[in-house]
Amino acid sequence: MEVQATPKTGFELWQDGLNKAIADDKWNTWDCEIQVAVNEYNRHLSGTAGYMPLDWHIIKAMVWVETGANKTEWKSRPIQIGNSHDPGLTSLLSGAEGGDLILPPAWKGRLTIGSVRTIPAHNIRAGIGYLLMKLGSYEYRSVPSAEFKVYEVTIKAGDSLDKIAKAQGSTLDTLKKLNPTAAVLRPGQVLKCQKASVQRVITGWRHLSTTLIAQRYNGGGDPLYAKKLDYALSLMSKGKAALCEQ
Amino acid sequence: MRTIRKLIGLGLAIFFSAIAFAASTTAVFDERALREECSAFSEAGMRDCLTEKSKNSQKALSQAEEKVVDTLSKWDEDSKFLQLAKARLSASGKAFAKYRDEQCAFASSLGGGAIGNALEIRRLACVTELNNRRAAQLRDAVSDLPLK
Repeated sequence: MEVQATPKTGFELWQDGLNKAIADDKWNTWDCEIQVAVNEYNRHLSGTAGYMPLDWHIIKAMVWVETGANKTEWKSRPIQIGNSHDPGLTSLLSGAEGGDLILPPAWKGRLTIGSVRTIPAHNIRAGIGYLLMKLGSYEYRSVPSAEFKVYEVTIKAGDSLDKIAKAQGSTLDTLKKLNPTAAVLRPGQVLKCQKASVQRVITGWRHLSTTLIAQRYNGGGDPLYAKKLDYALSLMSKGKAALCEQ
Repeated sequence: MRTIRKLIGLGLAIFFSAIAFAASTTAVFDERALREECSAFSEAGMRDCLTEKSKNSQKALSQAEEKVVDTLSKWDEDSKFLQLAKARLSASGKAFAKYRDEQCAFASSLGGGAIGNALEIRRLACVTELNNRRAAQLRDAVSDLPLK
């Protein structure tokens, strides 16, 4: 009796396609661009609490999983950020969710919705920026202004710490920190003051894993996303990468 | 002997109704199975795969609706009940489309702030599943009507 072969699963079919990729140089097209971009982000974020440098191979695995060299979008949106029905790019560029802290200064204002949708180097940078934005933890804290000078103010009748903070361009937290004993204010009393504002700051980073990327970047759309990334990374360790000028 | 016959009869009835139930339920893939099937492609390819499946499901639903209208026209029943069934079919079609769109917007929103194709992949898989289920329901609903 003839035994019928079990049809391949979606994942096995995808694996077959990718197995051919390691021998084809076009799948390495974005290696150098990815390395440059990842280095820019790593330099920019290295001073933030608990930042672990991003491995560029993760991003290479993402462009393989997101697009792959056989799709036409490979030449415009390799990491797929900025598609229609995609709120992620606006979140990154608006800065309201921490994107302004993540983007290296040289790229602020250069990345636009139009450029990210059409220029691969911009698309890759926006994709990395979005991923890092989702990995960060943020809090609003009092941040002293670039001018660190501490000066004195004299209390008038009817003043409160809140009123003084607003009038002096400072924050309640800053005034409390500088004047720990000033619980009750009296006219004529002298307080220390410093210009400050409440700003969003990066307070830590989530541990990067393929599962986290599947949840935070892909939003669970592809149930096999993490498995695909793991497989792409395992193939990369056996294949070759493009040679890039450093 | 009669008891044995009754038991065999009951067994067969359960067996055939189980087959009928399986045929009417397993033929339609749920949205997760649809996403897994289209996972044979990259994320960009998955969106194309599910767009195609969604279009096909819409065609299948339109065909099922036409089939129901056609079957109702041949139904061996008083014309006032025939007209009532057609009116109810039309109302349920409109209510279904509204429910499907809201439900699939909800399914899409479960992707959170994801980028790329993720939200659309969720929405398209949901639309495909619901269209296919509705088409199967409609076909089943009129399958045993007595015809003229």
